[in-house]
Amino acid sequence: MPTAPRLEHVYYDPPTPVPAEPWWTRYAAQLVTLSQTARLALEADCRFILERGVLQADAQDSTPWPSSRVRTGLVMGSVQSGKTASMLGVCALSIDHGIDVVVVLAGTRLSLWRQTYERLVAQLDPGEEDVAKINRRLLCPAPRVGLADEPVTLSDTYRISPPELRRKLKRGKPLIVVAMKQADHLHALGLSLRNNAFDAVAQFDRPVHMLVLDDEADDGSILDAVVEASGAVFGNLRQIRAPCQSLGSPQGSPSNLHHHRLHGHPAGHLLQEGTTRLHPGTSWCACAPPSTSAT
Amino acid sequence: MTVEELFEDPVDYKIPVIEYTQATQRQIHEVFRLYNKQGVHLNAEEIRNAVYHEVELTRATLVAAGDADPNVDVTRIAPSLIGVPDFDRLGITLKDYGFGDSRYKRTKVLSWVISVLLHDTGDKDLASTATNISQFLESIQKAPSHPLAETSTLTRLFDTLNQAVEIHAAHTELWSQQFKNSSKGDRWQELQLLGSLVGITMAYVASPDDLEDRIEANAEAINAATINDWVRPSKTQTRTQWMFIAKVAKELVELLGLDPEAAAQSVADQFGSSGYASLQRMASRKS
Repeated sequence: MPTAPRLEHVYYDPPTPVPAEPWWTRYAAQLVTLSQTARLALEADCRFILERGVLQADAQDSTPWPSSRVRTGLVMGSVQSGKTASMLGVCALSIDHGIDVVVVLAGTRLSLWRQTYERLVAQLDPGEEDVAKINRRLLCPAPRVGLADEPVTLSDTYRISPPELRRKLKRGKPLIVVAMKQADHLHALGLSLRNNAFDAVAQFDRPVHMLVLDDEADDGSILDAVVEASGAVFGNLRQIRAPCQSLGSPQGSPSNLHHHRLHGHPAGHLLQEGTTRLHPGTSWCACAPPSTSAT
Repeated sequence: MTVEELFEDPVDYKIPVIEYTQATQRQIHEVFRLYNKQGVHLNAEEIRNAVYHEVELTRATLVAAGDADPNVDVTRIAPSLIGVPDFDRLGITLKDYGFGDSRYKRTKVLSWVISVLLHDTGDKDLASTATNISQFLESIQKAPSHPLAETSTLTRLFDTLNQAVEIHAAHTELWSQQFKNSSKGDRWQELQLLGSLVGITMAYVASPDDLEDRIEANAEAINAATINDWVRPSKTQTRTQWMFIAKVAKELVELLGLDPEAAAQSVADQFGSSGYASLQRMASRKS
């Protein structure tokens, strides 16, 4: 027979309970324009992708990680099915479930990159930039850089303070990066990660998990932007694809860094015959139904 | 002629070398003054590095700040740093703070922190930045039994500075943007960095085991002080500079729930001297 607790706590100001999934709770609170049904559908999609895709390796399979330390997943969704909303939701749940570093590859043009950055800040990381908010994550680019009107050098844009990263990873606080999908940006981010983050990661005696989310990862989406910017289609396509892949690659990274790659594709992906190809070595695939965005 | 011949083959001209085997400090100063008359002038740090080169503190500061030749073995330049884990982080952080790796800018900042932390001027007023550093190094140079002439004390000092800089840089939530740089830039300005770094170092020496907890408990108050109370003076003459540094260092230690006088005593106990009393006396002196 259980015994009654012998100690009673009486609070004048009771402590605010910390939600079990603080990132998801904050994100879900921002989805005010979605109907209750749409919110439930979005949450179901995000949890499915996280639990059956991203985390399956750790939760259910006893030998999940290939020697390459890379797992790649593919999520396909119809146009307007809420792929970006799902991506942010997966970000939130991933952080709540122990992913240490999240890299969102966003937009092949400055305006699109900035639009995604602002949406991520508004929905995933809302609130005033105060002490509590600064302490809960390391956001790169920093808000004063990501939202700045003046031009900033790429090395400053993707600057990561090693002492701050060491402290935050030690306390289970994530590094969140929103990178523009452009060759120079991706090279600058790669350099910053190698110079500033990998040493910090290597000092942990546990696996450190990095999730790279590549929304609109299909060649067709990249080509749309490349064709608008230049005539040299296939050369530029390789210039973008190579650094995208190297960001999620273990080459040169510490041996305890595990790479999760999640590619988002429009459902019309398979119709892009001639230019597209499914990512080789894809570990898992999920399809979002077209109803998620219904309001 | 090939490029290899141009750069690798011996040449038939002679380079004159003058070796001073017996020279006083005054004569060495005179030599550098003469060399400094033409071409690019040596700055204060370059002259100080030469004049006080025999003092290990000078060389250790140079190496720890990341300004020494990376190809030269540390054991030959500053053996006291061998016992300091990850001492190279210090220079990396100072560079990240915006102090470039040309012409010993990082050495200057680190020397300044050390002299403010440790140089007890007695009854004398604090001189200008450069003179204050030189006076401190000279006091070590003249006294072979000075605690900071001992390798073990230097090892402890640079380990402490390394830890303090790590804590200072890790807690970005403490420092508002307007405090770090009053002219809207992204990088730290010297006075603000100096005051806050001296304060964090004193607090770390006084209470190393619970400093993280103290920071966490008082972060909002410290952040508010950087916005409302610690405003960089528009005129940065010597005395107003010292007043600002003294105010930031003192109030930061207090906001962390520590007694600055007791923290200064801990510094003196560990390293043989403390500059805190001289700094506060200078700040409170009537002009």
